[in-house]
Amino acid sequence: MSSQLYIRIFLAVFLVTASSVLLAGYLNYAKFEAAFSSVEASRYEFVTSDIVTSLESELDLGIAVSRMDSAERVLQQAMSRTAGMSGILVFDTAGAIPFRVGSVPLEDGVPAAWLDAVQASESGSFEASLEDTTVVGRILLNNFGQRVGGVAVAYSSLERQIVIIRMVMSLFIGAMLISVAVVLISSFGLRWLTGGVTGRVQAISQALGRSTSSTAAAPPGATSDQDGESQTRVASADSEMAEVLRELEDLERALAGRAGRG
Amino acid sequence: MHQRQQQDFFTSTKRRLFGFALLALLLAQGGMAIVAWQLFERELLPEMDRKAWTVALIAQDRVAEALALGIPFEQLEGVPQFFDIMLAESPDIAYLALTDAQGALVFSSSGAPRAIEPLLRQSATMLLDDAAGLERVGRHVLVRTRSEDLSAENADLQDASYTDMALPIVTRGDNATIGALHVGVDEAYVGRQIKDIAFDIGIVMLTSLLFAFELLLFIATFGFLGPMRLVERQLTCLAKGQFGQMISASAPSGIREVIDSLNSRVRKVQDAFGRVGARIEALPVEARARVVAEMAPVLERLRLRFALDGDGRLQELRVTDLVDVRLLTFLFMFAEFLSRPFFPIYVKSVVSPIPGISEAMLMGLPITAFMLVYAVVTPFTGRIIGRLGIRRAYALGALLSGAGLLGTGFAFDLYDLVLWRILGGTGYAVMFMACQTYVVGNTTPENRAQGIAMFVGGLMAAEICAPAIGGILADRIGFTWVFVLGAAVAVISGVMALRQMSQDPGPAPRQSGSTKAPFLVVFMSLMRNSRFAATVVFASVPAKLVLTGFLFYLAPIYLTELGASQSEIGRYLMTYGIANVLLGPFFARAIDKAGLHVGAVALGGLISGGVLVVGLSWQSPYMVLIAVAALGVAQAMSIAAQLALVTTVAAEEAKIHGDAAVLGVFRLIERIGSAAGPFVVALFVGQWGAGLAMAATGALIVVLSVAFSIVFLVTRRRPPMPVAMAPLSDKGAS
Repeated sequence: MSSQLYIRIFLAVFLVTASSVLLAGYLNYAKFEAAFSSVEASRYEFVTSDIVTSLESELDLGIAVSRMDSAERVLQQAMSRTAGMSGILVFDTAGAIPFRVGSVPLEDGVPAAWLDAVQASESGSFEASLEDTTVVGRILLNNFGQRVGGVAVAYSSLERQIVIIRMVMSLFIGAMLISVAVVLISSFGLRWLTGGVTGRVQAISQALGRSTSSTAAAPPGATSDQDGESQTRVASADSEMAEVLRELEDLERALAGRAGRG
Repeated sequence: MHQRQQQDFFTSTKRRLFGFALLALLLAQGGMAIVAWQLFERELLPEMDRKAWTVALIAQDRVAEALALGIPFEQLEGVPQFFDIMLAESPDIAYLALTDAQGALVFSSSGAPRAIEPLLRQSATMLLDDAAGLERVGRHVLVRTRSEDLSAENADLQDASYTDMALPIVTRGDNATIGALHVGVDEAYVGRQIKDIAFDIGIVMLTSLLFAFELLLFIATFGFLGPMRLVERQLTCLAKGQFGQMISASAPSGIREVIDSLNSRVRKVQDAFGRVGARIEALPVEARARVVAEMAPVLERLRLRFALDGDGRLQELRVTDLVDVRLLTFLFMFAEFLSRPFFPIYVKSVVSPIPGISEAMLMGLPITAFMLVYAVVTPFTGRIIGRLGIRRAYALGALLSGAGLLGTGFAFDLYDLVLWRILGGTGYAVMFMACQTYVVGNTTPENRAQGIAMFVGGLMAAEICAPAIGGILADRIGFTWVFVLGAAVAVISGVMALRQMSQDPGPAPRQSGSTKAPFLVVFMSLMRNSRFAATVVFASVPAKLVLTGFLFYLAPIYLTELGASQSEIGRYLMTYGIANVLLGPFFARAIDKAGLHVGAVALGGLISGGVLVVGLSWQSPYMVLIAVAALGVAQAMSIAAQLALVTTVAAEEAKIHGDAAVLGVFRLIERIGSAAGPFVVALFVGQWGAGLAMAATGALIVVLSVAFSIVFLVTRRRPPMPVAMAPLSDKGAS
């Protein structure tokens, strides 16, 4: 069988396999991104909730957000024991920031969306993205149930992006290697796939060859049944051909004789 | 080789192709699953560990604060509740627990499995004994114990995969360790993430398998199976002394040499015959007349016996397998069906409210426009195909369809959306009819059913996988890009048609009996036949109505309302195709054999309507799934039976006007049912909401099916005629 045909089949197998594993890889990537982001965000949400619990115990004493004594210490402690965190801030409903540790990249004060969330969020939490930073926040309630401000914890998105890019690259390389491996393994399958045809072609080919040379050996890929059956049919065909040619040659000779006689 | 053996040989090669594709894809997806699992573990477990550490430190602090107030360790109040609150949104953490100084469990979160106690004891003992294996992070000490390390001794832990992270609980005054806090990292969480997408991966696998099979079948057929078939045919002819045909097909080396060798035999014989002719021609006129008169009987005998032709006009043997049209049908249907699970939802996101028209009606309008155009354009496609030829007509259809899909994806309001759907519907009609004409032109009445089976095979393969993969993609890349993908597939199919479809086979033979009567005359004549009228109005139109109204329009809307994702909707809709593929041939044979066409049509209608009515009692996505699958079963039962019934009940009219005219009227009315489906169901949705609309649609279908049954009961004086399933099925094309 020609190499061009094999290349076509290999290409088809590679194309479909690569598309299939790339699509599966994409689904894995999407799932991984969701799972990783969820685990990462929930880690910071634990920290945020813990800070809020600590601060609210002080607010329960009737102290204003800006006058909480322990806030600085609570924020420092959370910051020191949580890897990856870039900053924490506490803000009130007017958008003032009485406490801040680390860095939270706010150019124009507390974003309106955060203040809106403090006023209206049903879940009591909010999320935001600022440049390369992700923010998770929770609202602060006093013991009268009033919304008095919020806590925002910022962490770098870069780390997540690096992990996700690493994952994408790994999945892509894995998918390509698998596709190539499958194509290589397929070469054995291809022999099985085309084996029947190859055997038949060889049997007919040999039978056709034998009709002019009686010394040809039996073809390696062909079964004796195929060989015998092909020989029979080729022999019939050649016998028919010999018969018609003989008759036509007789006619031709007869016509040549007539032409000679003028 | 006998014909049967040849058939077995080609069938077994096709099976091998399928097995080959299946094996290749199983290997690929298996490999990908292993790679993904390892990558998930490598990247996700450290983050889960970091989170567990944060949780442990916070919980440790809270417990330490309570102990600092002087509350005895065992008498701490509300610890399990506190743990439960902490773990409420953390499926990656299996448990939180407190053990005492002896490692005995004191408190735990409510979902903590009992089997963990030996694990906790082991961690606590190590921690309290200050044993080797302790880790130090800053001023903190912790120990990690994996459940699998203990599973040999504890059978209960055999199926568990936890890493217990334990921190000491220390009194503030004397710094004594009085217990341990445990956080259980659930490593099975990683596996659950991968299992979550197992359905989607399965769909990808199925789609790839169908694609791979179609593609390999196509390559194999034109690469070696087709030429090989020609070799076998030529050899058989030559063995019988028939030298009137030459193989004209490209073939790989090996087969090429065999073809050349066989063709050279034909040429040798034909040349010899030609030389005899030339000799006769060379004779003087008088002698020639004498010779011709003398030799004519011999020459005629030879010409007939060996299929000789002095002019060299030999029959060309070409690869005319319909695999190409199967692949093309698969591709253009795939392009169109991709958007099925979300199309009405997409329309909702594009259109703005129009006073006086309900939102439900607006959502159905583009589908109605598409179906209406399909119905109206189809009768004219014959003229387009006649003028352009099948290949170019298909390519034109693909271009229109591609443009329609692309425009749909970027539509900005209802009006342009409807225009794009009209364009798409036109392309769809042209492609559909081009494929059917190709099948008819490349088959004889004897093998036409096989040709149609090829065509329907491609169609049903698309019906199965396109909605499912469309749903998955819509969830990830959004609606617009799915339309772009559909457009690309449509255009690719057009290019393939231009490259691959063989020369136009010429017009299909006209059927005898056709009188070319005006459409209206045929229509009126048929509608006076009460059985024909009942079949189309009470069975065929409702069948199409429920297909487009429920499957294309209502099911996606209702499932979205019930909270199903696009992937789930796609999976649910594919059950229609699966039921059709699995049961269609079985029902066709069984109903033909039993002659129960009227019963099958009536029962199919009652099932498809009845199950929608039942939906009223259970408003769940699973009910919609059952309804979709039941619709697939019902239509597998009734669609082919309807066609057979029409040809039977209108046998008299067919004798006068021809089968084609009768089927033309039937198809047109049926397609109007397709167009009416979304419109009628949208009226119900606007009035009663999606859930009740489903039941109302079902009730309508049931009533019409009962009416169909009554008409056939009342008019049963006509003796039943033997019927055979008519070959040209419009299955799934709505």
